[in-house]
Amino acid sequence: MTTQADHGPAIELVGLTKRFGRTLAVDHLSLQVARGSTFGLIGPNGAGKSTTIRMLMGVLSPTAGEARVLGMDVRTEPVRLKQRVGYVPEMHHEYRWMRVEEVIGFCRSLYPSWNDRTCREMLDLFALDPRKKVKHLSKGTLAKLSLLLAISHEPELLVLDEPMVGLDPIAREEFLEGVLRTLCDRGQTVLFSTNTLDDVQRLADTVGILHDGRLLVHRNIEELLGSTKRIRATLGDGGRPGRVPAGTVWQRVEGREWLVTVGDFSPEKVEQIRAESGVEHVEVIDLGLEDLFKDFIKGQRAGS
Amino acid sequence: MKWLIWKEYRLNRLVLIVGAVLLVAPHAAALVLALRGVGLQVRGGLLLQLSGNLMVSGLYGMLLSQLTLALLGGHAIACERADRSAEFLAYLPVARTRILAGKIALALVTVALIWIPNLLIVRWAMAGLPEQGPRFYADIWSAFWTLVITGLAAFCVAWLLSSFLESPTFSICGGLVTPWLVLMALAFLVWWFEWPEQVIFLGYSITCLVLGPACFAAGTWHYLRRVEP
Repeated sequence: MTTQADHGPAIELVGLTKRFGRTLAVDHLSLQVARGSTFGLIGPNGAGKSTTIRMLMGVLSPTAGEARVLGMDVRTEPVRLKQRVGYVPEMHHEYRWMRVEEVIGFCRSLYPSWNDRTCREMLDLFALDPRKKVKHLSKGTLAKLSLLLAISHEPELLVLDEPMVGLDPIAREEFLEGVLRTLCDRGQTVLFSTNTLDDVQRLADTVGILHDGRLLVHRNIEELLGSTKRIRATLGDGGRPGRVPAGTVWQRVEGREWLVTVGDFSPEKVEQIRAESGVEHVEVIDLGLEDLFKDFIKGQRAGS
Repeated sequence: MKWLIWKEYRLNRLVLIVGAVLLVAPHAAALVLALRGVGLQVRGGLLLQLSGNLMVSGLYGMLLSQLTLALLGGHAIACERADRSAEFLAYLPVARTRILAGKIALALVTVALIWIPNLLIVRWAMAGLPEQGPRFYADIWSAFWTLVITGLAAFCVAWLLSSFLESPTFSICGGLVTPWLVLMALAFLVWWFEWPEQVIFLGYSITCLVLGPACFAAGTWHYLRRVEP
């Protein structure tokens, strides 16, 4: 029997807020992540990504607001929720005195849906030595072990907080293309936070940009890249930048060059710049996710 | 549950080794002394001297068990916070009540393994001693009882502190020091108000019997209520 909770969003945050003393880490964050989607959460250091994820996983209590994961309230059903969610934290704190096989055995005993075949495949893929003690693993190998533990119980939702930190380029590629791609293609919901924007552009179908605990953008990545453009205008002699178009994300004037990044781009915005600012030349530039992200953050910083 | 208890055993393996040494050492010493003809309480044949020595070593065993119990209580929750493995545990689908059950099971088994042998040894030693002996062993059971409630208080105070703190060291020290502070406070009150000396024993028993369960309940409640690992 399916319930409404099985059809709703995989993640639903309503006004989620976290305050540490006088510091506001997450500020009334409302967000929905659809089932089967791959959501990339990006933001500068200290934006509140890890805090948000920790609240999602029920290991940090929100100051206000609600978080529902797979239709369950993270505060009231933590055990059921964790059985259905795989999580790779930013820092890996497995018991250092355990051997790899002992960590696996320990986790296996706690997940009813543990799949030994998946686990063995991951052990082979990551070339993990089951007899090795956790304290003797390198940072990258520890990350691989965390991934194995998060994936082997075949979660409906995979939450990854900076999962690629510490992985060498080959392991990173194997993880991205081998593991994460398979999960995405299987229709499992994936939420991952990262500072490597190339990974987000490659894998995510939806992206959220977090800054100072607030969600600046939450859009389909293709739509976002298609609708956000940078306009480079060369001002004429004595020309001055006119009124910025609606939806301007960031702007900079340097000499005669005026750069304006606009969301919801339309040719009318170019015409507005041309008409109101006495420009000699206007060029529209497509942005990659990295430039787009930088412009959103710089725009926010300039505005605050 | 088997894995949770195994994890507790591995986390506390060093404490359990210390506990085993502290359990065996006094009795081994008592045996060696008896074999060398030294009687701590009574003089006579080997068996009589051994009985007298074991009676004393039983009490020493109980006294030393305070350290094991404080170590166990102080380690219970804080040691996983100290090395951050509590974070790892927090992301796994296991209820706090089950985690606590594993910790309590280990503590109960340890207490039983330390106290029951000491109790049996003292009982055996008493049976081997003449009925009219030194005054010392007339009070042995009240001494035994005092050490039992001291151990209870030490464990429970350490448990309470462990549920709040990230440092097992402070929790262990708190567990070890608190019963002595209670005793000193009672001794001071008796001296100040010129109460009869029996009040110390009675007051200490009541305080430990109230303090222990109260601290254990408060520590458990806090651990279960707390969201953060």
